Parts: sequence; structure tokens; C-alpha cells
Amino acid sequence: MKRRNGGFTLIELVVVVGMFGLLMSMTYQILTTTIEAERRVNRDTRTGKIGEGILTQMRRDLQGVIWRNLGPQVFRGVDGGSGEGAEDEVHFLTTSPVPEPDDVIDEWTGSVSSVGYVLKSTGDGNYTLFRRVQWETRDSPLEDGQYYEIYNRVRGLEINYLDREGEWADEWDKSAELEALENQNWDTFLPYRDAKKAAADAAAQLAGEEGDPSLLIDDETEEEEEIPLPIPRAVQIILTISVGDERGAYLDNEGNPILERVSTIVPLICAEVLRVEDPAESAQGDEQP
Amino acid sequence: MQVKLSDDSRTRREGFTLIELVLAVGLIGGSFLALLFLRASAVDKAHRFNTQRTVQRVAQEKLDEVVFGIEELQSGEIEGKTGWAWEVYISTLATVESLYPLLECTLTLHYPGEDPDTQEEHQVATRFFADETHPLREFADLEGEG
Repeated sequence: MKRRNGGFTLIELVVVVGMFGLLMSMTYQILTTTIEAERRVNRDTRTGKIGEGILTQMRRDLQGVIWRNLGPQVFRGVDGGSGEGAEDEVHFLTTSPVPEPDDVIDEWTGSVSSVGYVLKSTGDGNYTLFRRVQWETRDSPLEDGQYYEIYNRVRGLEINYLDREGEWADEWDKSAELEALENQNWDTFLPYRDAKKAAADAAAQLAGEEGDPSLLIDDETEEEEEIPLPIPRAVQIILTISVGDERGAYLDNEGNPILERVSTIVPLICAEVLRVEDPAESAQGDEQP
Repeated sequence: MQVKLSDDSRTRREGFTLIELVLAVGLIGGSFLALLFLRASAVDKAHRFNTQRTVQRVAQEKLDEVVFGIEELQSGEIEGKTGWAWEVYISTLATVESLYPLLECTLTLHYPGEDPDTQEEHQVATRFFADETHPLREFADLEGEG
């Protein structure tokens, strides 16, 4: 009892401090490994998420691509190399939702606007990806507008375009053909001529005469007079990005930034004119033989 | 000084017994261990989820490339990923009547499982019309068209 009143002995103190220290170091270990694990999980999940997120945005814009009766400037793809370091650009008209314009724009109906994706070098091998939005679609819709930053660790953006023949091209610009089309003689323009010829044939059949010879179509010229395809049938986007947090880009074991390549192919539905047989006509055809 | 301060049992006055101490230390250690296991399983789950998503994405990308004619082969390995291989199977869907033959393309992606000795696989499929310019037109069963 006497000893107890005198306070703790040295042994007791040493044991207590030792135990406390052990406990503290255990806690410290657990804390640091937990933080490290959190960082690793974050890194693993971020790598996939950012690329996919950007592609989702681009896919949504491209799925809204529209071209009918909007003049010759409807879709432009600029080639800027391939793979890592590619600086491709794409501009198009779309019905996808965009931010409201800052000031009132008379021409803007709120349904069609011009959207583009452009890279700007940040100087350290990275690019910043911008989404361009232009509400004024009357004069040269594929230029200017408001630039919205999307991501600043892009390493390359490559875009390819599927043409009518099923070939993939690096760039796309059909404005010259479309401008020529605007000055076209519409009487010889194939779709209209077909309709006119059908009407004339029907009239001639009623009258019991031959069709108007000036409307007869030469099969060889038919192919050449096809309407130029103003927008590609499909667009492939290949995006190379590096990922990081506020302490910088994530590095691999050799100290190089981890690069991630994501890609997608977006079919542009309004480029395809789906030719479907008239069921009534095919039923007639079956009866004839 | 023979004053008894309290009527507590003898053990209380003397301090903790060994059993009590062992129990307390065991409890604390056990709770720490439980925390560790929880964390390890959370990391595992995140990792597995991430692999699954990458698999899904890579398979879809490859399938798109095959159907749109960018990839001309019917099987191969995934660039930049060791042990990842893919193959496609293309079949005609004869039951559907349409202007163009309707094909189905199924892609199987093989990738190493969590245990490096095992292989896992993932399948994605898509259907498409094979018009005259389609890169996979040759797979269409065109007998019915003649």
C-alpha cells in the first residue's frame, strides 16, 4: 500500500509507455496502408472512368448529328496524325443538348447547334480537350463559338470516318461537293428525276403511250449522279489520355505516366438512307412468276 | 493506515487480473484485424469491378472494329495486354427477312483470371445488315438471293 501511494514504479511506466507506443505504431501502420489502398482504388477506377466519360459525351453529340437543308457546312474532320500525339479535330451540326448561350441569339432555335472537339497543347506533352459550341448556325457554323474545357491530360485524339464505299478516311470535308450541289440543275437530279419519271410513266400508261423519252435514264450515268454523302456513315474516335490527381499524373513502375487508350465507333444514323422494300410491291412480284 | 477505502472485491483493489488484460488486448487486436480484413476485401472488390469494366470495354471496342472493317482478322491478341486474346464467330440469321442479309457477330475475349493460371472469357454480340459494301459481306449466306 505504501508503494502504491508513492505513484508508479519505473517498471510500470516503461511497460505502459511501451504498450502505448506499440499501439500507436499499429494504428499508424493501419492508417498509412488504408490511405495507400484508397489511393490505389481511386487510381484504378479513375483510369477507366475518365476516358469512358469523355467518349460518352462525344458519342452523344455525334448521335445527334444532322445535315438536311443546313447548307454546305455540315461536317468537317481535320486530320492531325495518328496514335499518341494525334491532333485531330471534328466539327459538326447536332441536335444534342448544349449549354444555353450567354446572350440572346436570334437564329438559335435551341434544337440545332454546332459542336466541335479541338485539342490545344499545354506544352508538356499533354493537350487540353475543348468542346466548342456555336449557336449561330447560319453563316459559317463550323467556326468560332464558345470553348468549354473538358480534360487537360489528353495525349492524342484520332478520328476516322467511314465513307459510302465502306473505306475509312482520316479526314472529312464535303463542303465543295455540297456547294456544287446547291447550283445543280435539279431537273437532272436523280431522286427528283426518278419521281418525275414515275409520274410521267404513269400518265403515259393511262394515255396508252410510251413514256417521255427525255426522261429515260441511262444506267451508266445513274451511278455517277448519286448524292454526295455530306456526313460519314460512322465515326471512330481513339482517345489516348493519362490520368492523375492533384499530385500529378499516375506513373508506372518505370516512372512513365500510365497511358490509357479508349475507342468507340459511332454510326451516324441519319447518314444512312435505309432502303426498305415496299411490302405491297414485293407481294406483287411473288405472284408474277 | 488501516482504513478501508471501499467495499469492492479484492481483485478491484489489486488492479486488473491477467485474464482481464489478455481479454482487453485480444479485443483491441481483434477489432484491428477485422478492420484490416474489411479493407482488403474492399480493395479486392474495387479491383475486380475495374477488371470487369475493362474487359467489357475492350471486348466492345474490338467487336466494333471487326464489324466496321477496321480489324480484318477473325482472331488475335489485344495490343498492350499480355495474355488477352479474342476471336469472333459470325453467323447468318436466316429467320429474319430483310433487304440485306442480317448477320450476328459474337466476340469472345479470353483474359487471365485473378489466379494467373486460369483463363476467363467474356462474350459480346451484335447484329448488323451486310449491304454490298460491308466488310463482312462474305460471311452472308447469299444462296437465297440468286
